[in-house]
Amino acid sequence: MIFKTGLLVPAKRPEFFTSWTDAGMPLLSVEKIAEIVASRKPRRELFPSNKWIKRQLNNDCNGWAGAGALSRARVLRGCQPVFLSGPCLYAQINGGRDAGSMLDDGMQALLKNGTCPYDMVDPQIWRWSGISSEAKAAMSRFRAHECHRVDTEIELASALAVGYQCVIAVHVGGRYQSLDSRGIRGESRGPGNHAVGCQDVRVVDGELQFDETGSWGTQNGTNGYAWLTWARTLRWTVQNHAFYAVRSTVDDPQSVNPPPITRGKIA
Amino acid sequence: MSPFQMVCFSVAGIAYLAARPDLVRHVVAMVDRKSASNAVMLAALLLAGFMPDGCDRIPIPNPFPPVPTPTPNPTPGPSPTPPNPSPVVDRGAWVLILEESDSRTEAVAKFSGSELSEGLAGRGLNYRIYDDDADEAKDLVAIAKSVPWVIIVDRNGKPLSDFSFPATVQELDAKIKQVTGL
Repeated sequence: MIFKTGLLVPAKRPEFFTSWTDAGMPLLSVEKIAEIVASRKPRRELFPSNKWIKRQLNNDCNGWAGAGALSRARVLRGCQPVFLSGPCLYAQINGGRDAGSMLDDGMQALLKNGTCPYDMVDPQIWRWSGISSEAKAAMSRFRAHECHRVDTEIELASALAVGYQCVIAVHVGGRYQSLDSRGIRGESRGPGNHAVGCQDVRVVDGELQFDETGSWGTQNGTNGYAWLTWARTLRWTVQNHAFYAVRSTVDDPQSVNPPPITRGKIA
Repeated sequence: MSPFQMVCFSVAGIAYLAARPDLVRHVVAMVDRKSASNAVMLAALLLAGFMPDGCDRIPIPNPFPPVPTPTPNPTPGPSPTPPNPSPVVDRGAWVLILEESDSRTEAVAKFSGSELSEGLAGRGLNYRIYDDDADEAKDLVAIAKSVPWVIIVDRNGKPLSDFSFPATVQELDAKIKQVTGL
């Protein structure tokens, strides 16, 4: 089975948007991360792969990673679950060619334009002209509100622990597609040719492990998910790509939302 | 039971007991040998108590009258407490959380995606987390005294309660139950 990738390596690592630490975001200790994560349901249970893992058909991994992260971030805010379209996001940032895209472009498109629901765009579409007017009109209902660049292992772990969804880069090559007995991907030292989502963190014997959400269907990894470590994978790709965390999202005005608050005394 | 029936039963009882001297001895022992006639009558009554359906049944007297047990001294019970004000039971209420997402607290982090947050829908409640500079959060910012802050409104948007986000998810759960009754 052929798995497509599609992440372009920028000439210089993008650093023009605010990093996690510079924004004053919390940096947690490994012990605190373990405590927080142990107190709640694992994201794999919250987002079962039969509903939350799709299969990319083009070089649009970056679109799927961003759309998946935004979809999950909305649910974690309390919004109605809507799986969002990777191709719709990708079509905005691919320059009119199915030749891949860059991670930070995806983040900016999520903030500025958003993406439409999954059902509104055929997964084979990659051209902007192939996106229907209805789908384009729906995009603004599904936008990220705030995002931050993530530069280090503890920043990524802290972002996931406090409940944000992240988009990261991996390199498909080396032993990436080999999972060990703990479900952790093998070492791969490339510059980063594939974008994936990252939904959770766990601490095993003091080591931080990150839960990858792929776009290669449920036959990839463990039902579409796999564990990554900084040492084996991410420390190489972070040198070229600006990972990011989706901090908040906007409400979909056409969905079920809180009513306007009436004035008056508390009952 | 008529006198004739009583005589018949007594004769039948005596005939039966004549064939069962062991039973007679047992019955006589029961009444402390004071009155054989009483014993015979008692045996007859016992037999009459096991008569086939369709005949009158005679209740068997209890040879051991119940001994009255001393009743405990009644003590005054707990004084009645005034009922608590019943919480507002309001399915469709919203638990709104206002936070500054760049300084999310540990308590909010534990709430996000927790069993509590996922279980609210099953209790007929909704929740939503807002960043304090989101456009949709202006009304909440006007109410909140700090962040993170919890504002519970009914299905029509009427505020029911607002308070600082508790230190633990369990405390938040208790507060939600107190306010909504759900």
